[in-house]
Amino acid sequence: MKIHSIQYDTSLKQGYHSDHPMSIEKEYSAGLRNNRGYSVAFSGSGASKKTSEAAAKVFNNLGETVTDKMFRSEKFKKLVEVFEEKTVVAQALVALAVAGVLRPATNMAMADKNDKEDSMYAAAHAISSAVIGFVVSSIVMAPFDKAFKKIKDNPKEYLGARTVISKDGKTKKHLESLADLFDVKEIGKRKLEKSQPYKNIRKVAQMIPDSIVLGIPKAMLTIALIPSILKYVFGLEKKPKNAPVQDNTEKGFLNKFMPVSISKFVGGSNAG
Amino acid sequence: MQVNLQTANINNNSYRPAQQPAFTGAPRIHSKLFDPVKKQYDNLAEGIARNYYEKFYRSKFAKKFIDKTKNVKNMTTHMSAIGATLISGMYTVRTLQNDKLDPEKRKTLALNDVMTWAISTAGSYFLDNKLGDWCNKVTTRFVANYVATKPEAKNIELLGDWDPKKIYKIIEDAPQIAYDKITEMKSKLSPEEFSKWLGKARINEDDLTDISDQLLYKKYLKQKKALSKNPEKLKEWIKNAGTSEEILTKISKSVTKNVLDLNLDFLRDKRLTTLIDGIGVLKSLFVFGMVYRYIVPVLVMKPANKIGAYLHQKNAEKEQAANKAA
Repeated sequence: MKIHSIQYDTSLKQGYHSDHPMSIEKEYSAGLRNNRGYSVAFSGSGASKKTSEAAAKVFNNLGETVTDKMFRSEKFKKLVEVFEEKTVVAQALVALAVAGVLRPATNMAMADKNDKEDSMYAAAHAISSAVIGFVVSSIVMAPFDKAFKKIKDNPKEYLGARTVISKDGKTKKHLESLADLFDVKEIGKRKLEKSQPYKNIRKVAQMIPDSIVLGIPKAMLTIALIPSILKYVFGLEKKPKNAPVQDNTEKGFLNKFMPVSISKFVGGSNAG
Repeated sequence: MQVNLQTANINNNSYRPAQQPAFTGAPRIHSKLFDPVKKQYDNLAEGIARNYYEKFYRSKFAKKFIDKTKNVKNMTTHMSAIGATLISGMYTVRTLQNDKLDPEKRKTLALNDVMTWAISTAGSYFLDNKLGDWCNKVTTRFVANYVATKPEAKNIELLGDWDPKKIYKIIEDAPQIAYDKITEMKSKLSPEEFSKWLGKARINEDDLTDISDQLLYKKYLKQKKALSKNPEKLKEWIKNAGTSEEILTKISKSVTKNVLDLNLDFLRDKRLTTLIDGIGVLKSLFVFGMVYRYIVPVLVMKPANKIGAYLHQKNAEKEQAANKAA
C-alpha cells in the first residue's frame, strides 16, 4: 500500500530544513530534535499502543454487507443531507414515518374488539397530526433552510468583521468578527466545522423557529384542524356518550380504501 | 493501477451500454417565467440570513449561551427535548382546562401526559447516550464506504492511495503522512511549484502550522505518559519544546480524532462534512421520534390508560356507595 511506501521511505524523512514551510514547527521543535524523531511512533518498533489498536481495526468486509450497500446508495446520502441541512423538516419527516405510519399500524394490529374503535380514532388522529406537522414545517422552514445554507456556505460574509452603513448613508456601524466567540483563529468554513460552540449555537438557531416559536401554534393549528380532517378525510366524528349508533361507512374518501372490517366501525366512545 | 484498468475499459467499445442515448447538443432552455418569484424568494432568504441568523449569532444571548454550553456535545438532542417539553406542557394545560371532562378524569389524563413526557425524555436521553459509540463506528464505516466509492475524496496527492478498509489507521497516521509528503515536495519543488502543489493537495499555509501542531501534541502525549511520575521533567520538556500547557490545551481541541476531523483536516470533501454531521442528527432525531412517538405512547400509554380508567371507575363506585349511604 502506498501509505507504507511513504511511511518507510526514509528518504522522505529529511529532517528540518532551514526554510521549512512549517515555521511554528521550527519554533516548537527546538528542543525536540534530539528527542525521538516524529517518525518513531509510525515506524514499527516504536509504535504506540493506540496506533496499533487503530491499525487492528480494519473493515475487512467493507462493501459486502447490506448496510454498506445502503451507505453507498445516493438516496441514503440525500436523506442524510436533508437531516443536516433541513433538520426541522427531517424532524417532521421522522414524525410522519413513526407517528403517521408505524404507530397507527401497531395500534390497529394490537387492538382488540373493545378498543378497535379507539385505536381507529387514535390512528386517524396521529396520521392527521403528523401530516399537518410535516406540511407546515416544510413550508415555513423552507426560506429559513435556504438562509441557513447561505451562511454555512459563506460564513465570512455573515460572521466575519464588517461595516454596516445605514440606508441613508449617514451612520456606520462596525461589526466585530465572531472568531473569538466561536473559539477559532478566523472565520472560515473548515475552522467553524471544528468549533463546538458554533455547532451548538447553529443547531439552536436552526431549530428555534420550529421547535420553540412555531411549536405551540403548530400544535394548536393541529388541534383546530384535526376534527375537520377526521370528519372529511377519514369519515370519523367524535360523538357524545350514549349517542345513537350511526353508520360511518359512506363518509370520507379514505373509507373507500379501507377494509370493510375497519371502515364499518362506529363512533361514540371516549377515545381521545 | 486501477485507473489504468478503468481507462482501458472506457476506451473499449464492447463495455459501452448497447443503447446509450446520444447527446443531441440542444441547449437547455432556461425559463424566465419564475425568475421574479425566485428573486423574491432569494431576497427573503437573504433577509432571514441577515436579520435572524446573523443577529442571533451576534446577540448577547448567543454569547451567554455559548459560554454556558462549551462542553455540551449533542445540541440536537437538547433542542428536541425542549420542543417536546413545550408541546407536552401545552397539552397538559389544555387537558386540565377542558371543561367537558370531569375534574377527576382531567387529573388522570394530565398525569398521563406528564408521565408520558417524563418517561419519553428520560428514555430518549438514555438511548441517545447509549448509541453514541455505536453511532461513531457506523459513521466511520459510512465514511470508509464513501471514500471507497469516490477515490478522489481520499486526497491521494497528500495522503497517498490509502485503503478505506484501514480508515482507523489513516485517522491516526494522516498528520505524519501529510507532514512527510509536504517535506518531500518542499525539497523537490521550486517555491512557485510548491505553492501550486499545495493547492492540489487541498491545503494552505495555515494548515502547515496545524499539521505541525498536531505532531507536537502527539509527542507531548507520549512524553506525558512516559513522565507521568515526574511532572517536573514534563514541564521542562514543554519548556524545551518552546510551547506551554495553554498552547497544548488549545492544540488538543484541533487534533485529528475521528472521521469528521480527518475530513476537515485532510480530505476536504465538502459533501462528506455535511453527511458526517447528518448521521449524528439522524441518530438523535430517530431516537427521539421513536421513543416520543412510538415506544412510550404504544408501550406505556396503553397500560397507563387502562390503570387510569380502572382508578376512575373505582372512585366513581366509592362515590356512589357514599351517596347511597347518605
